[in-house]
Amino acid sequence: MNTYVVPFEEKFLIYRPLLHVAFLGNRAMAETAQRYTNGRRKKVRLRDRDAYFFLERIGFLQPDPPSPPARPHRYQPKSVVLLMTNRCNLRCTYCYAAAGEKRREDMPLNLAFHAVDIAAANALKSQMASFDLVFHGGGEPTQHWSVLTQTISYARKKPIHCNISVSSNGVWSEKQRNYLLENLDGLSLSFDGLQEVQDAQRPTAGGGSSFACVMKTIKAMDKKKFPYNIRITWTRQHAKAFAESVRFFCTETGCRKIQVEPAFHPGRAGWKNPNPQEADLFITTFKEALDVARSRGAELMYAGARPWMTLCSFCTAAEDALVVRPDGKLVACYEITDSRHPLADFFTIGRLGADGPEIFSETLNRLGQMRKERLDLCKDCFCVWHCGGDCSSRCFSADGTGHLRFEERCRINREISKEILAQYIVNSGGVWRGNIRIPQEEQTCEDTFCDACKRKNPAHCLKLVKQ
Amino acid sequence: MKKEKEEEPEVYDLNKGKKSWELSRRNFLSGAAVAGAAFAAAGLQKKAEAETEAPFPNYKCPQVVAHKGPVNCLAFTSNGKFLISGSDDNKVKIWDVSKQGLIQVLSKHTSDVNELAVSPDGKWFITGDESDRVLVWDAVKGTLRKRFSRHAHNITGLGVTRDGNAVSVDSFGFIKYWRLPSGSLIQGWSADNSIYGLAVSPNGQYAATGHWEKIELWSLRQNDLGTMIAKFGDHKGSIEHLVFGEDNQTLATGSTGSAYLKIWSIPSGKLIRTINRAHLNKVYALAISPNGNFLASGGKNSFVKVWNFPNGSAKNRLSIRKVYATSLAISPDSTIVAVGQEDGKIRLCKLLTSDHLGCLMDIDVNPNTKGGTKYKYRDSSGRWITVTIPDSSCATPLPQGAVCVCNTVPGSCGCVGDTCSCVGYTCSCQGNCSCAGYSHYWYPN
Repeated sequence: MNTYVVPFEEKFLIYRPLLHVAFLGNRAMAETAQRYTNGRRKKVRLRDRDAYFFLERIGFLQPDPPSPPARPHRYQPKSVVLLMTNRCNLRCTYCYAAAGEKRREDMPLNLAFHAVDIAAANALKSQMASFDLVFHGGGEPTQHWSVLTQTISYARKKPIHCNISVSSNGVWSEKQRNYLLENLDGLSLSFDGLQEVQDAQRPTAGGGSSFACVMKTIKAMDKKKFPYNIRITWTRQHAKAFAESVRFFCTETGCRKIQVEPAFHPGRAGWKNPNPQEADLFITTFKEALDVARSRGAELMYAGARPWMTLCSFCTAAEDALVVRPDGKLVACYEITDSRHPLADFFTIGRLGADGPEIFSETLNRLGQMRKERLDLCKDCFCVWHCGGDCSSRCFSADGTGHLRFEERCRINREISKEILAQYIVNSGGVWRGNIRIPQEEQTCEDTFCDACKRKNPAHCLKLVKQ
Repeated sequence: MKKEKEEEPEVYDLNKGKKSWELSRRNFLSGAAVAGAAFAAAGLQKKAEAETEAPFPNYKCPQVVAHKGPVNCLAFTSNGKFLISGSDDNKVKIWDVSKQGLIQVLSKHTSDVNELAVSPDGKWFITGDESDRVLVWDAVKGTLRKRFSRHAHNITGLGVTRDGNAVSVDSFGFIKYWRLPSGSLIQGWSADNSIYGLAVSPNGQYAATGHWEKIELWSLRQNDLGTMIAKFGDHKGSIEHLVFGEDNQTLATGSTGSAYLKIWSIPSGKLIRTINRAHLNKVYALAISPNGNFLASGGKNSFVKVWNFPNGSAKNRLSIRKVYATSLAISPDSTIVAVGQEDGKIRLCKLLTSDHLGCLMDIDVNPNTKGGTKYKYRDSSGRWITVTIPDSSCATPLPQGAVCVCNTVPGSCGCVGDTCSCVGYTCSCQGNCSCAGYSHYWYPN
């Protein structure tokens, strides 16, 4: 059984992540909980009796459910992510892709169609009810308008339902707005909140304000009750306004799902690990904003800390998604949009040819091995179940030969996870017993690695093992 | 640091203050999350208190202890002459029932000995511990015959069939069916969930495994060995205690999460009877008399209760005061019940009259035994030795020819008025017996 004891306010969060049970206790309680969940002790010690009964009553001693499925054995993507273009109508100060500055690269129409064909075929073969099509960043997808609209039409004609969504900055024309709200199923809107922050961090290509245009898009979506979430980028420069920006979203928009990602690097096309001061600042301001969001019924999330889920990987880019760059290369990260990225070789896992995807199996296996190693390195950390070993492109070294040290980013993940868990405990009257969100269809024996017995195809899944 | 180790387990309520979190200590059983269970427990507590108003005669056992920790398992040999016990002190001990003396201490386990089963012919017995160790012992010679090493997790149940095959289960759900005493595996299979207890039917056709709230019945017949026949049960908590009736058609079960016992029809799994309020919240031990007429249970109310089986009516009860029975065994003639307790004592009583027959004692685990207590053990040459604990801790005159023995650390014992010699942990005196502060005794009487 996976039991973690996490220091919290001079006491301990005593936590079963797979079972989703958590409460706060002292050291003696933590030791007792570990003693009876380590899979070895059965009889109850005399001095532990009351504590044991408490643990038993709250369900803490129940066996772990199966852990979430690990990476599939075969790469058979059932969703497609198209990195449409490197053109952009904004010049965000922290843009990881430095969109709009480089030589123009657009996705060819036949390549987009081909990718849709593959995902649809795999989904049909797997007897799924639908497949996903996402138009993602590296530039503003709506800038490549013609291919985008034709691909949407093409996907809609498939014999299987397609969920279509876009990651966009929301700076659209009237015509685009009308079309997208009519033809999309969802939207992830990049928007930084208060006007002074938005305009400072996300100016237009000409240096002007983008705020008013984005607000127009938001008003239109709210009016139409269109499902969307906001992705806000936190920067050190505007950290103090972060909670206010979240308050602004809660009061001025109909959005109730806000995702934040911090950008610690000083300029465009860069990335760096935060230093301790930056990490502290992010943690503090996130907690403030979390309280603001909660008090207004909104959900503020950070991808590195998702205690409401149990994860074996941070994202599905290398597992279940066909992430296609304009040059036809398949990548295992949504942010590695350019072959000049330091990790491009490491994350380029194939190429989309006329006969289908050609997978660079050596690269894919090396990446899978690295992710497995990362999970092994993280196994003693409670947060691994909620960050999935964290973002691969953030925690592997640029030459692809090793793992970056566990530094401030890990501390951020842990501190925020603890904060969310503590809030769950408060809301549950002292003992949190959440529901586990593992989709039923994914709980296959084939892909299950049992953490209890450290085996694939574990006892829980086999009725009879002849030996 | 010492203070930290000695602190009691505590749970805290949490509230968000203006700037930081505020913590407040709370009772284990308070709070919304466990309120329902707490109220249920409170109701049963009253019942238990009422029960303790009627103490049983001879409930007292002198300060004699058989093991250094809770006695987790007990079994009589098939001729009823010997009793075997296993405990948290990692020891297996063999006792002579009629002389109530210790015969042998077996120290091959490295963790708590939790499970024990004796072969029907009395030749072998097997023990399982909290690591993955299952040991096969020669019951006649008291020697280790074999180590069965097919488990990787703690052993939670052992059983032996009439034809001399063994069944063992572990906490991760693995079931092994193997030959005694060779240890060769006949077949292994696994259950869906953790296994907390095991019973093997007297005719050797079924094995019942206890899980979280459910029981699974497996076939041990040659033609469908390892096939699950039925899954049933509506217990709360982990079902650690299961016993088959002599007729092979009934199964009694008790769990650590409920106060009741249940009797099931086998192989259908249909519930025949529920014995309500058998114990307070928990059932810690269960045994059935070999004649199949009586069921004994121990649980969280310091009583051992005897029930008519299978109708479930109360037959008898024995108070063991303030401690819980952690294991039970009934002699082959169905007249004596051996009660293993959480304080390390083993007491022997008449099953139906509750007459107290005595407690078993190992001097090595009785550092502060009351003066005047006598106990018996068999020495290496096979002689029965009766020893006496001095009345006083200092300078007690020895009877003629007696030898004083001190169980103490070298150099810290002394003899008053005479010379002494300390060899290893033993200090022998020729005159008076004195080992202040440590256990000491003399022999013969």
